[in-house]
Amino acid sequence: MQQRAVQLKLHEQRYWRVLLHYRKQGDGWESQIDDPDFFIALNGKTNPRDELIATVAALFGEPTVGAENPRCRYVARRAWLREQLGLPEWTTDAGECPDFEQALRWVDPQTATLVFPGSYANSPASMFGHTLLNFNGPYQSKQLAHAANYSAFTDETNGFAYAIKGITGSYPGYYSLLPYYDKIKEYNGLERRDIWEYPLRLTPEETRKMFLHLWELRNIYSDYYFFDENCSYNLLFLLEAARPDLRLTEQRPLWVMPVDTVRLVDRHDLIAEASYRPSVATLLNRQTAGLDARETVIAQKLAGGELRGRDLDAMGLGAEGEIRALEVAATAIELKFIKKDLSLADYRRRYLEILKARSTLGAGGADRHSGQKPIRPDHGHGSSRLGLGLGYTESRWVQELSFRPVNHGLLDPEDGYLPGSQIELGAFALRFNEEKRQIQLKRFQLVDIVSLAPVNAFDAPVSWLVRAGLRRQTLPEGRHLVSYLGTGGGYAWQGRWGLGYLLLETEGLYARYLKNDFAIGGGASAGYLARLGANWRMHAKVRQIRYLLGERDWSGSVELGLNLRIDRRNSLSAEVARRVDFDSWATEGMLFWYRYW
Amino acid sequence: MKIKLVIGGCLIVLAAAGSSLAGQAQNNCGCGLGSMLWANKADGSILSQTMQVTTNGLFGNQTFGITSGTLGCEQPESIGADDRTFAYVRDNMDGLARDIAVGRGEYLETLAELLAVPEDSKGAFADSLQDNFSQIFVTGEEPAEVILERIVIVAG
Repeated sequence: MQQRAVQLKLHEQRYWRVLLHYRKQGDGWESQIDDPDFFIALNGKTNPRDELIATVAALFGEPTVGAENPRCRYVARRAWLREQLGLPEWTTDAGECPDFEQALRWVDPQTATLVFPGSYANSPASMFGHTLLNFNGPYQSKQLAHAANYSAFTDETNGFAYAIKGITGSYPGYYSLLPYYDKIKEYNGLERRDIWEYPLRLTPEETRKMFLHLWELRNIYSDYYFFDENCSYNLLFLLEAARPDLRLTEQRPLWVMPVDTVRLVDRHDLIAEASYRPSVATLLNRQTAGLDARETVIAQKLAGGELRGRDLDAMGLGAEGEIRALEVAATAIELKFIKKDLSLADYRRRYLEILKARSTLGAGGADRHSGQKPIRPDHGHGSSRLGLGLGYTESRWVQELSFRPVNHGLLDPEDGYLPGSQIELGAFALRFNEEKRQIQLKRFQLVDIVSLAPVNAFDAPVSWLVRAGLRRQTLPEGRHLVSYLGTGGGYAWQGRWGLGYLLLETEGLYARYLKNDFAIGGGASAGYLARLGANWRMHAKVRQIRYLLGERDWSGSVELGLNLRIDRRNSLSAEVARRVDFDSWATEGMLFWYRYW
Repeated sequence: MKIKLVIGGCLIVLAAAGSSLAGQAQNNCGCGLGSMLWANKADGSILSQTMQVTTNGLFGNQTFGITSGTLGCEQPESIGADDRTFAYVRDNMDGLARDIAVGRGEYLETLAELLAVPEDSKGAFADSLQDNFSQIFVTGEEPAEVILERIVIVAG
């Protein structure tokens, strides 16, 4: 049997490489999987042929005693090899592998859905979203699916070590499979993230193959890398196991953003449509928008426990008004409990009281899940941006070239992105200096994150920013590169046209040209971020910082930016600023063409 | 005991040895409303029942997490519903309570499907549960089997 498998060159077939996660490495092959338990041959990680021989021996030779029966573990290899070797099809209900058979019966995979929990404004940790792969059983309800997830496991509690190790692949990543409703509670609820679901065009047979492969991967680790071999990348292996013609894992960029895997899967024509599952926080915002001022106050009191559900009759709201107020109050109570602002006992009492009052009012009210669907995140602008700029400052023309690998700024077209959030990592801008005839670094933004989350009737989230990097600016003695680190916190408000915000800021500068090499100070910034019609955006901002330690001075700026969205890949920006740094005033006007991909 | 954080968009699960934390999580678990949403207010940690379940699903003795579970809320021996329905009611009691009170929603539809309510009876099913909400959820502390039993009785 082994000879026959080798004669057929099964180890050179695409599907064998997919199942073992082999990738070309120099002259040979190497599996992306790092766990030795995944391989049957000792050198299986690097030798597809030996692994094939060992697999055939283990699956079709003398049954092994003890440990986990390889026939019940390597189920995808087993199904495929039987087919290739012309053996009768393997029936999975023979009672030979009770655990596997039970799991297969329970999940009963028919179709699959790619799931994308988006980012949440005020949680830096969930910046880029996540991806899951759902196995849908024979049910209509999407909640009864099972979600496959790939994540890293660690006992690290030191945040810094944790980041470093995550980047360098020192944590093991594992696949898991859980009821999708648990994931809904986790993402829509606890983490307050909107979820997008993309049903995949896979046949039941393909979905089943994917499930068999997932079974093989359970309790198997691979080194987890935050940027590339991460949660999203590893799910692509499952899709290749479903349909080996798909080449999803081969062209791996330097970093894999969850939303880019959605785009990748879409490019392979696997996605037909998208459905939207708003988080508890989004629902509360939407529901509250349907209340008038008086109903809002009453809903607040109901949620705060100052007004009892049964006292509502005396308020004279009318049945529809009562329904609206009670339903908003119920969502607000859920959110309070999730945020731990409410004890379990209080939550139960209030929630139940509100629901009891609601249950006596019969049908009516709006469907909590009705409402406009935002633009799909994968239909937003691309994650990387190149900018070409031309401008005028201090009596001369300037040219600028900028690149931002990741991912969205406040002024960029907002479709598909979370309103009021900015995540810029590793961005830099170069300027051509006419006088010196040389290219100079204008700025390098290691991180520049802004989260503007508007306060509402039930919740007053903190808006914040953090940024660090290098920038060329005016110092007491000419223009130089300065290292900066800044943080800020405050509040944002939803206005008629957009978001207004006020943040208190601190900033530290480090440069040789400063007194004692540094300046540290504090100040404030305020701004308004508006959407004007379908394609225009505006950001107006004032900022002042007073440096109190080191070099004592101040800087300030007034800035206005306008952005015109042309299409998903292009936009134009006009940015005008007047600023003062260390007693030197300057005005600058720039025009940019931005290209996204 | 495992704690979970999310970084860089992807999931990281912290697996820390700490039996005291584990004990607290179990104490706080219980059954009824709220118990499956967010258990652990007491220790102020990011540990939650959901997360505990998540990791049990992977490393525990359950079959690859195909059913989650709460300690102390396991299915009693004799109950007239199947495992899936019981687990669903136990794990989604809050959403179910809201949908029953409101008279519609995904949780209610899922329950109707699990109980094999015929398509043309779903309206009546929703109405009778809504009308009897106060008889189904009396204290909010009832375990899933009690809620499910009452639902089955009310729905006839």
